Amino acid sequence: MTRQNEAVMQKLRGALDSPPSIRKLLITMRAQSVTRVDLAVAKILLSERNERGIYITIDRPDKHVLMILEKHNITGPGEASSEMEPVAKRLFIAKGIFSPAVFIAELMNRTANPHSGPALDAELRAMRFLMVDNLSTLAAYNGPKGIDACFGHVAMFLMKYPSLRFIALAGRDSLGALGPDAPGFFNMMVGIPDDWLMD
Amino acid sequence: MVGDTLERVKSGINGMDEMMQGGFAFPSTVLVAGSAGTGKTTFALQFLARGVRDGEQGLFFTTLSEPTQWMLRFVTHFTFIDKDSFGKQIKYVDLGPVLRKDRDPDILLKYIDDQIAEHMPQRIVIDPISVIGNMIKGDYRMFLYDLANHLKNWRAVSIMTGEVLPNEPYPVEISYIVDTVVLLSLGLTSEGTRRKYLEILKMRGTQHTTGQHLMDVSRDGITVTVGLK
Repeated sequence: MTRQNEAVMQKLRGALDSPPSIRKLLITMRAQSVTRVDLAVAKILLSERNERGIYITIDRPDKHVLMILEKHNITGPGEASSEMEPVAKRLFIAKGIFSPAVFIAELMNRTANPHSGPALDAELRAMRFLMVDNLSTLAAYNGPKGIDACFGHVAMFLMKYPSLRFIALAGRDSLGALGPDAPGFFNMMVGIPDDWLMD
Repeated sequence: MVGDTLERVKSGINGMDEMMQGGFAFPSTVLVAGSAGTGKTTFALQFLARGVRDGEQGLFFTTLSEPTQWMLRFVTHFTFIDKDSFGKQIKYVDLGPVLRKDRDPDILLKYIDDQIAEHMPQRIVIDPISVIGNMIKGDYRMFLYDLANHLKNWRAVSIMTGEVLPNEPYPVEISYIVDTVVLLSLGLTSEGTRRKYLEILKMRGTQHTTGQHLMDVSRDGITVTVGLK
């Protein structure tokens, strides 16, 4: 591993080591590097820490995320799923269909089902992270109301599942498109310098 | 405002970024079309070389089955080429064996996806795309549609180069499915000199200059002079 890559990993580890009170973490970088930093965060959470969680992708097919994670030995066959089944998967990969709000609303509805809801609810309580990649693309598909709805759903979900931490990755230059209030939603923001990603 | 939520990457072509709000939309798919000798492969390599300068990974798919060293022999005289980047920041993948062995579009798409998932490039080139039409079984248009959709879902700027046939202005079947079409062409001046031109025919979500602009290919690569026609 190059020195720059190691610097990125250390910065990410430091951010993910932040106290549990930091429940909403935003990691920014240049847009071209979002996929690589996504992978680095997933590696820390899944390979190094063996955590379980949810990975929402706004603008990519869930199968592409799964393919990358398996190709880079971060998840093995059968360890990740894009079906929310009441079985112990390490990672649930969801396509956010333009906004994580759509997926979170669906998940909340399912937990309300008297038959399958309790098992799903138990699964969610055992998870540690709710990760969204490329949050800045939210503005390409949503107006201000849609963006507010996304943050509202995330806040509601975190309230219901206190073991979860929200980790969002976003292209730095397009972050402004989410509106002036967006940074205030987060407890902590971490920026990855460009020169650390140029190796 | 046009393009206000689009990220941009530099094209690497001298003078071109000023024609298109600072660069190619990221991610997006681009067709670079032209007849033989207009500079399509040079364009593609210059685009990848710019990525190397910006710390990005490039992936060059060739469909021609040329040995890597053969291609390198003809491009290393360009000043923009960093020879050390080949095999590292620019990975070279030959699609020829897959094309010849199976001729199956699904197997080819799966192979391309696998390579992209492994290398996670920010810049992808398929050079030339037109060859595939003669080699795969089944519907070439459907394959192009599937390929463009696959490429759009990976976060990269993907350039496909396409040969322009004598009876068509540009490869029509590909131009519908890409976000950007750049046409490279040759023209005769009134003095009888052959000149090269670059024209942006289409660029989604971007205000761009129109018309043909004079293009020069030197050891520094392609340079476009906006306004010179």
